[in-house]
Parts: sequence; structure tokens; C-alpha cells
Amino acid sequence: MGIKLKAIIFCCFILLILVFSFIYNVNCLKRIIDGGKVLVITNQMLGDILQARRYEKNFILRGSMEWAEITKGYMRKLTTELEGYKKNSPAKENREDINLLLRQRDLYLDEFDKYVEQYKNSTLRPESNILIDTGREMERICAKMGDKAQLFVEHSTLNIGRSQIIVLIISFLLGLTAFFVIMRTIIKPINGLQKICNDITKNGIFNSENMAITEKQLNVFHAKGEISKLMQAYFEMLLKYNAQLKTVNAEIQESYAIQVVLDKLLSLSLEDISLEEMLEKTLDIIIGVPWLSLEFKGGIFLADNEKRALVLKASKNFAAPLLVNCANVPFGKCLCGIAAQTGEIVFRNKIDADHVIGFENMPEHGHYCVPIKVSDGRVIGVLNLYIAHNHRFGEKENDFLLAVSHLLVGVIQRKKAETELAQAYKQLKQTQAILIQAEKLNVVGTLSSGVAHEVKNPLAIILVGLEYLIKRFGKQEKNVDFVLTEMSVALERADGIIKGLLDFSRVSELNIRDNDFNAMLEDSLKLVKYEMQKKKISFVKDIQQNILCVKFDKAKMEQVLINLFLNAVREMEEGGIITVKAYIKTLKLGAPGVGRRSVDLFKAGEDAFICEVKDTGPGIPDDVIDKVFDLFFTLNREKGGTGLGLSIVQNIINLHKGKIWIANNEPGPGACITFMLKTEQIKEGLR
Amino acid sequence: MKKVLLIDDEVSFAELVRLSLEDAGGYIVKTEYRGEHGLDAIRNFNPDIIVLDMMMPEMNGLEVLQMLKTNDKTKDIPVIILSAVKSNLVKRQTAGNYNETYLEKPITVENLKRVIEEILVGK
Repeated sequence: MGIKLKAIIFCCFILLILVFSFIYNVNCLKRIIDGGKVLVITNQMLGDILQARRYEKNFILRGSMEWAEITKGYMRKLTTELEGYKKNSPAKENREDINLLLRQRDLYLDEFDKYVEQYKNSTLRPESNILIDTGREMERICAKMGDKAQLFVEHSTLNIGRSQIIVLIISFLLGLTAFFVIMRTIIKPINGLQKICNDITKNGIFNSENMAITEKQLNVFHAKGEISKLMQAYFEMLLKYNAQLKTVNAEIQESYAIQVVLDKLLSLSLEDISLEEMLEKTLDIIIGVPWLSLEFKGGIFLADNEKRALVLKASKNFAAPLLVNCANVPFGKCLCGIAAQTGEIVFRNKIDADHVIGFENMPEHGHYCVPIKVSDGRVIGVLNLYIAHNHRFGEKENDFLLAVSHLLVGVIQRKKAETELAQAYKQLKQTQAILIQAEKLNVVGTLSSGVAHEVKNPLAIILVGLEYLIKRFGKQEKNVDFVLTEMSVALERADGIIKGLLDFSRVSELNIRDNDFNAMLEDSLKLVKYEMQKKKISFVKDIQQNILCVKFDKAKMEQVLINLFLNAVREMEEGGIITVKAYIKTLKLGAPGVGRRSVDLFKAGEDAFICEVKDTGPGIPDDVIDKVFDLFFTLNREKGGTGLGLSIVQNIINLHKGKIWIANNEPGPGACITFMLKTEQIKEGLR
Repeated sequence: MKKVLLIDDEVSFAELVRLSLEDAGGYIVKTEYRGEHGLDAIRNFNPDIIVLDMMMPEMNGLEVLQMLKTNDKTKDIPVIILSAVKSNLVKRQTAGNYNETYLEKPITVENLKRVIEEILVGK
């Protein structure tokens, strides 16, 4: 039964009780009023009877007829009052009294008339006992009627009180019933609900023990009350919501796991590692994802779109033959090639006809080959992952790998861009350094060419003057000769610097012609022969046979060799060895000055002319080895070094679009200066 | 006695060289400080050898040399060219047409004497 119906019935019941109680009470009140009226009439009647009897007694005693008439008058009044009594008291029990009283009245009137007749007819007072008795009887009946009316009023009053008590008791019982009903149907379920809500608030929906208990006890709530129904609906909703939440939670956990992997991959791109290292780590992360049913091996290829082939850049647990066979995979060949060509994920759960690259006794397995595709549809690589034989295709795996491939696009491109940027930056720095150096040299050149001539003339005057003084007075005084000679030496040193600066300023244009490198080397040697002999320095020549005629500026290249030889001679102790080695070599990546970009002077794979000048001196300290080509840098100022020689050498080599560098010999002692020239200049000169 | 005509705009240098050569003995040295004066002096002085500075104001050494070598009377007089800049550059400027000797300043008088002797002996 619904709570609404219950409430209506309950209200009707209360209303009924109140109506009954009201009617009953009204009835009682009416009876009290009637009783009161009857009591008043009875009292009047009793008064009339007593008056009648008083006058009857007076009549009997004095015999006045007037009094007899008064008596009779009272009797008539009684009769009238009896009529009124009859109207107001319809009760049967009173009818008898009225009839009795009427009979007694009639009897009394008869007796009174008889007595009046006898009185008139006799002188003696007639016997009046019957009359008196009848009067008494009438009086008694009337008194009795009065008592009855009083009793009736009292009884009715009492009934009102009783009915009120009954109404109160019934109301109390109804209230009690309502209380229990409310307790059972509203308060108890609400308390239960509150308890569970508190528990959920405190422990969370998944840990709530009440969830299970409530499920068990749902039958308790399966009563028919609205609140129970609400409870039932609420818990059913909660259970369903809980189940949905668990599903959603599982999905969130899965997404989180995916996010974690993607985050790891993204953070890799921020690490300061090479592209290859990054790909290795990426592979480790992907095949290490626990919820992906992958085998712990795989590889990442990057696409060479010019050659339309995939190049294996990173691999994990690849079988040895595959490292060779999969090093270069043309587009369209084998599963990875198909993925690269179609741009679609290739899924195979067994080795089929498409799996063309393999080896003998290759264990059964499957693959996910995921293309790494940029937005314009170009494939820049393929992710190769191993799965178990007969592995079932998983939508989620597929989606995840797709997401990974999208991410890898950005990561790889970013890494590539970073590498290129770093290289460009390095190149820029180098170019900037060269430009600064060139600017420095330019300034020095301009200054020196202007100043040198002006300085040289006074120098010439002083030198001739000194020479004259030495001749005239040197022989006379030993000290004068010493002083003047020292002045001459200092002057020659100053002249050397001026000469160097002038040389330096002139290194701006080349006069390139076919020259015999060997002959030029010999000519240069002649010019330093004296210095070499003075320090007993021997010379070793190792020239590759086919280098006979080379295109360069002879005068400047001579200056290069002379400067290098003089430097070596100055550095070495007596008995040192200068070795000159010249050869043509095919360049490899990683050698100084060799790169792949258009800005690199020398490219890997091309031929270059290389000349090494090696000495057996003390070598260059590591901390200054980068500065030896700087203008005015010298380690041997006290030995006459000006810090110009190697700057000039470098300038000349740079003008030839060559590359020069210095390194200490390994094993020592000594250092080796190597310069490298473009082969176009040399090949043309080959005989 | 060998007659040396020294043409150099650097008066001090010219006079010092003259003093040194004359002091050494065996030389009569005449100094001129301008190219055109030098050319004029040749007629009266009639030198055995001319020492000519390259860089001079107005008429420079190269012009003087050209005048000397285009005049039949003077074309056979040997010339030593002095220059503050590198001798082979000066040589390139004259295109090596006149087979002259080039010396780079600063020079020693000893060296100049040696070169003069070599040329005059060869002649």
C-alpha cells in the first residue's frame, strides 16, 4: 500500500472518529438540555402539586371554596405543564411516570371533587385520607420524575467526558501506529541511506563494505513503501553507477598507462641524445609496455625517400641474420616495406608469403609494422614489432601503436631539426669566427700596408747609420761595438715584423697556375737550408708519386712551406727531423673539415690533396693548441717569433679554399701541421 | 773610382749611404732627392751605376727607370732599384722588363757594396 493511500486512510479514520465524537457529544448536550428542561418542568410541577396540596389542606381545615378553586387551578396548571413535559421528554420510561401522574391527578381531582361535594353536603369534615394519599402519591411521582431528570442530565454529562477520553485514547493509539509506520517506512530507510552515504563519503564507493551488504539486504528494502522503493532505486542506481564507474575507471587506467608511455616518449625528445639513441630508447619503451602483448624485440627503420628504402636505425633482440638482411629494406619489400609503401599498419600473426626477408629455421611469429607517417602522407619510418604466433588483432593495440607512430613523427622530426639546427649553429659559429678573424686580419692588413712603408724608410736610415757607426767607432771601443750591434739586431727584428705584416696584408689574391709541387718544395728548402744546417736538422720527404703538378699560387705556397719549416727549425733542438708527407686521399666522414652539407668545404667520399709537415720539437701545449693560428700568438717571442707566420699560412690556405690544422704527434715528440687542398685544383695538374 | 748616382727622396738615407760608401773608399757618390733632378744629373755626372728608390713623390722610380731605359745614352747604365716594399712585388710592377737588380729596404751598405761590385764586375 502506498504511503499516500495510507496517509489518506489515516486522515479519514481520524476524521470519522472526530465526526462520531462530535455527533455523540452534540446528542449528549441535547439530552442534557432536554433533561434540564424536564427538571425545570418537574420542579414547577412539584411546586404546583405542593401549592395545590397546601390550598387543599387549607380548604380541608377552613372549608373556603376559594381555596378549593385555587387547588383546582394549580391542578390545571399541572396539566398544562405535563403537556409541555410530554413534548420535551419523549423517553418511554418517562411516559409511564406521566401516565401514572396523569392517573393520580385524575384520581386526585375525582377525590377532591368528591370531597368538595361531601363537604358541601355535610357539616362534618369528611374523611380526607384518600385525597391526602393521592396528593402524596402525586408528589412522590413528581419528585421521582425530578430525580430521574437529574440523573439523566448527570448521565449525559458523564457520557461526554467518557467520549472525550475514548477519542483521546484512540488518537494516542493512532499516533503511536503512525509513529511506528513512519519509523518503519521513512526514518529507518532514511537512516540506512544516511549511513551508507556517510560510509561512501568516508571510504569511497569502491571500498564501501555497505555496497555488498546493501546488495544482500536489498530484500529488506523490498517492502512496498515509497522510501523503500526510493532506497531500492537509489541502490540499484548506485550499483549500476558503480559498475559503470569501474568500467570507466578501467578505461581511465588504460588511458593513463597509454599516456604514461606517450609521455615517456615525448620526454625522450627533450633529452640531449642522438637520434639513434633516442630511437633505441623509444623501442625499449614500446616493447616494454606490460599491457601490450608484444614480444621483447623489434626495430625502427627510417625512410630514405630518395632511394625509396628503409634503413634500420634501432633494433632490439633482432636475430643476427636480420641485422644484415634488414639493414636496407626497399619500399614494398617484406612487411615493413609494404607498410612504408602503403602507409597503413601491417598486421600478420604468422609468417606468410609477404614475409620475404628471413632466415633458415626462423621461429614462428607475427608482426605489427606501423608506418611513421607525416601529415602530407609521406612515410618517414616504420616501427617493426614482434607478436606471438596466432596473436589476435587488438583494436586497442592498433590504436595505441597508431598514437605512438603519430607521436614519433613529431619526435623524430624535432630531433632531426634539432640536430640540423645544432650543426647549422656550429657552422654559423665557425663562419662567424672566420669572419671575425678575417675582419681582424683585414684591419691589421690595411693598417700594416699603410704604416709599413712609412716605418721602413726610417728603419733603413737607422740601419745604415748604425752600420756606419760600427765601422767608424766599433773597432775603437769594444762596448760601443756591442751596443751598436745589439741595436742593429733589434732593428732587424723590427724589420722582420714589418715584413711579416706586409706579407700578411698582401695575402688577398691568388695567382694560381700549374706548379710542380716537388720543385716548389725543393725551392723552399733552399731558402731555409742555411737555418737547417746551422741546427743540424735533417729532412725527410715522402711524396706520393702521381702528385707532380698541382694548381696553386707558387709564391704563396712557397711562403707557406718556408714559414712552416722556419717554425719547425725554431722549435727544435739540434738534430731534429722535419718530415714532409704529401698524398691524395679519399675523405671519410669524421675527418677534420669533412661534412655532408653544401656548406662543408670537403665532402666525404671525395679526393683531396693532403700535405703534412711534421717536426720533432716539444709540441704545443694542449691549452693553447687552438690559438696557434691567431695573429701575434707565439710561444717563442724570445727566439724571434712574431706570431705572424702561422696566421699568414692559414690565410693563404684559406684563400686556396683549403683546410689547415695542427696536432701533436702521437706518440710524440713534436707536432704536425696538415693542410688539405681541393682536388679539382690538383687533378687538373696531374700529369 | 766608381761613380754612383743615388736618387732617393729620403734625404737622410741618401746622405748616410753616400757617407758610408765614400768612407769605405773607391766610390764617388752623388745624391739627388727627386727623380727629374736625378735624370738631369746624369748628363753632367755620367755615373757608372744608378741606385734608384722606387717610391718617390711626383716622378717615381718606375717612371725614372722607364726614361733611363728608353734613352739610348742612358739605357746601358745598370740600375739598382731600392724599395721599402718586397722586391719581387716591385719586380712584378716593372714586369721584369729591364733585368735590373732589386733590393728591399732596409739595406746594409755592405750588401749594397757587394751588389754594386757584382754588377760592375759582370759588366
